[in-house]
Amino acid sequence: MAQANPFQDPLRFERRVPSCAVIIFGANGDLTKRKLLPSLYRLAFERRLPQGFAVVGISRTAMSDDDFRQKMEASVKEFLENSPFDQALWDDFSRGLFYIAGDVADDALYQRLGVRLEEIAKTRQTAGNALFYLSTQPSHYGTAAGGLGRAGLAKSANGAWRRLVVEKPFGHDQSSARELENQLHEHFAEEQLYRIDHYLGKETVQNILAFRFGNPLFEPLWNRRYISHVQITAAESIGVEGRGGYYQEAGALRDMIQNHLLQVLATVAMEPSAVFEPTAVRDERAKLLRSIRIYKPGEVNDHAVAGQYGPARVGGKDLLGFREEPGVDPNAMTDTYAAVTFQIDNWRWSGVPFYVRSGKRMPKRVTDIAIRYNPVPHSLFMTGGDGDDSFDTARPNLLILRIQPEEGISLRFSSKQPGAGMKLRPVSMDFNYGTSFGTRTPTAYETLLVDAMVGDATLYTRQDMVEASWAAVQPILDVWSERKDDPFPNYPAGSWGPKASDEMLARRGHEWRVP
Amino acid sequence: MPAVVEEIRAEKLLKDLANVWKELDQTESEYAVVRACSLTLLVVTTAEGDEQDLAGTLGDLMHSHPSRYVVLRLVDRNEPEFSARVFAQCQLAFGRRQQLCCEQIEFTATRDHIPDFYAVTLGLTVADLPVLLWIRDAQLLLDKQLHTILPLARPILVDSAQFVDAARGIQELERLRRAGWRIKDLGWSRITVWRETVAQMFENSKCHNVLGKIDQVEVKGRFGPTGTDVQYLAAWLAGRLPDAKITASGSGIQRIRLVAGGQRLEIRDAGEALVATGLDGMATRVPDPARSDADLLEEELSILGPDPTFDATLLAVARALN
Repeated sequence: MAQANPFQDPLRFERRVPSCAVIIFGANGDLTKRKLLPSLYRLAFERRLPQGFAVVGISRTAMSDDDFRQKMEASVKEFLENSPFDQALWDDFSRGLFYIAGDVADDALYQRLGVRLEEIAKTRQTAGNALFYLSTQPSHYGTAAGGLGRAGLAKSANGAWRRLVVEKPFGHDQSSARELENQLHEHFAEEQLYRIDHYLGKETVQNILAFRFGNPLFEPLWNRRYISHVQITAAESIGVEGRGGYYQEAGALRDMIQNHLLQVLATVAMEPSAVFEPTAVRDERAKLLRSIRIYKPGEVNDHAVAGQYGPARVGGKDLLGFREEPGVDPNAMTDTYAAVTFQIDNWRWSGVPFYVRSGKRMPKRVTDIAIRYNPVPHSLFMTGGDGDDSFDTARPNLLILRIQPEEGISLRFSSKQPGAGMKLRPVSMDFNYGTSFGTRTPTAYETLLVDAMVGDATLYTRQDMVEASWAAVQPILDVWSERKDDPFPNYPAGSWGPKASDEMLARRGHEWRVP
Repeated sequence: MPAVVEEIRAEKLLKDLANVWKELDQTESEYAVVRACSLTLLVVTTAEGDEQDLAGTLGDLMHSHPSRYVVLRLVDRNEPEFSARVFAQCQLAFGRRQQLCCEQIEFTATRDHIPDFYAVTLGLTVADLPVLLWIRDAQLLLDKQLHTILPLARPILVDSAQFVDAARGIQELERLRRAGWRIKDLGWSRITVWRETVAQMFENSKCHNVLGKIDQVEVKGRFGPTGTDVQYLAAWLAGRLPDAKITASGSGIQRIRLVAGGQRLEIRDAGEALVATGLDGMATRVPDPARSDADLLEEELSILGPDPTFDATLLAVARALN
């Protein structure tokens, strides 16, 4: 085992990234320009990148190293968030940027890449470590993994590591997800694979673990005895914004719930791991996902609702319906809204519904988790003396974990109204992340890129987690795909979704809260 | 006849503070007021006319560490003086529609009233939250009169760069550390970038391989006699390279040079950046923008618990100076 670096001071220094090269497939794409390069540059600015660091961009467009550097400079300047641009630092950082033009289906590309990586290992001292990042179309994932494997680039040699980062979607359904896994596993071992779900990289999602397992106050109340139900909402006010072609093939259930929101659900509901280490934490997340009840086809309509927005006038502006959006089939059956009641069949959560919803063209952009506690077993304060008992009822406690915007935590409880009598009113205790920690927080991509480079997979999705989450949504997708009627559009743009979604909760005596 | 000094009581000051918040609440503003507090920061200063500078530092600091600030401004007067005022400082939180407000109590006192300040401040610290004492003028630490107030907080913050007699200052810090205080030094946080750059260099496998061969280390400062910054850095390096010959000179670090069997690694100051040159001559630029007091304080306040690396370095420097 290599001797530890005696100069490290983990109390003060951030985690160190070892010398390595990051190879981005799809280097001319939006993700590279908007997220990956700005994040890598920011890491350099934060002094978190090693001396021997390089980026190799790959795409079909013919470009020289210098062209690529100039293009990335413009992107970083445009998309860098809350951070200054330091020209001298960029000049230094960009000397480690290289570019190769080629087709991912062409084996010659990987031969050229291999030669280039060897050169870079010598000139930039990357020690042969390589992080391959697939930022291409999902249909190219298997091809790229195969090309890397056949060229011998997937194999770690002389102590160097090779890792592969894959962006979602991990398949289009359960069977295509398995097919993708087979393609990836043909050349890469599971521990080399880093399936990125940027939601897990968000500080506030990570804070759920800190909140639950760093505070003994809440964990004893985190179960079926005290919690009535949980609501997870991810609402967007925007429509498909030019991504109509892609989105009509995906839909809200695939695009948000199958991955991001089930990962959030798992984070909220998982058991504590014995240690905070990647395998242990992911084992618990996977175990929770496997505990989600798989619905039979006949049960789906009781537990899942699909919606699609229609045209509406909002704030004096006419908004198009989904089917009128550019690039969208006028008869598209895509769900731009999905709500599902998940049941977790384990000791802790048996009988507690987890309502999860996500939609486009909602009244506002918000992602939060609402944990509604059971009402008091016997209310002393129910009778309203003045005939208006709306404020007298002791409302159940509500714990809100706000992911975005205004990240924070609120706890609603009842308080006596000042004055004579015993009237209760709900009040809120608020913790605002931005107020208590006014400093800049790293973006999800900064966090996840560092994790992949240091080999920490805690916040990455594992194969069994992908399979379990597909298993949970596949019956719903199957029923929806066989629908004969055309219920869409069934909610106007700018509303909180279809009526059927409210009815789904009402059947259990619950209602959606307005975030 | 001695001047009459009005009695100052903690309860009265807290009541005044409550009124400040009430007024703020009633002030019409498009931005909501958020009262925030994560610790009590006691500040002792002697500098006349630094009100604006100190207010700026505390204002910058409140984003990451909103606090109840209790400031003691020590003044030289012919007559005894002991007065206090309360106010709130508000800033618009970045990108938000909220004003973040912190409360401040400012005492002005002549030295004979230091015990009164201690007695009143005992009732002013925020319950259940950490209390820190920042002796803004580090020279005061050598003044026995001020020792009356040291029991107000366990962590004591100073800037060792201000010591006129560095040896005496460091010995005093070490004495307090041994007596149970947790010493925090802005002079130490100022050299974090140097230490981090050294650590980063040795993440590179080639550099790491010559670690055991390093036989000479030079820490060179720009100016005059050896300063605490150079001493800290040299002692920290010596703690990790026990077999190397360490030389240290000057203050205001200009360069670190490590020699391993004739091969050289170097980090040098290049204005707003450090330039680290590895074994193969490849130079890397590491941003090192000038750091404000608020920035340095923020680093120190992020470590409220023990800091064994600093403690060991302080002990080593104190021993070397003995």
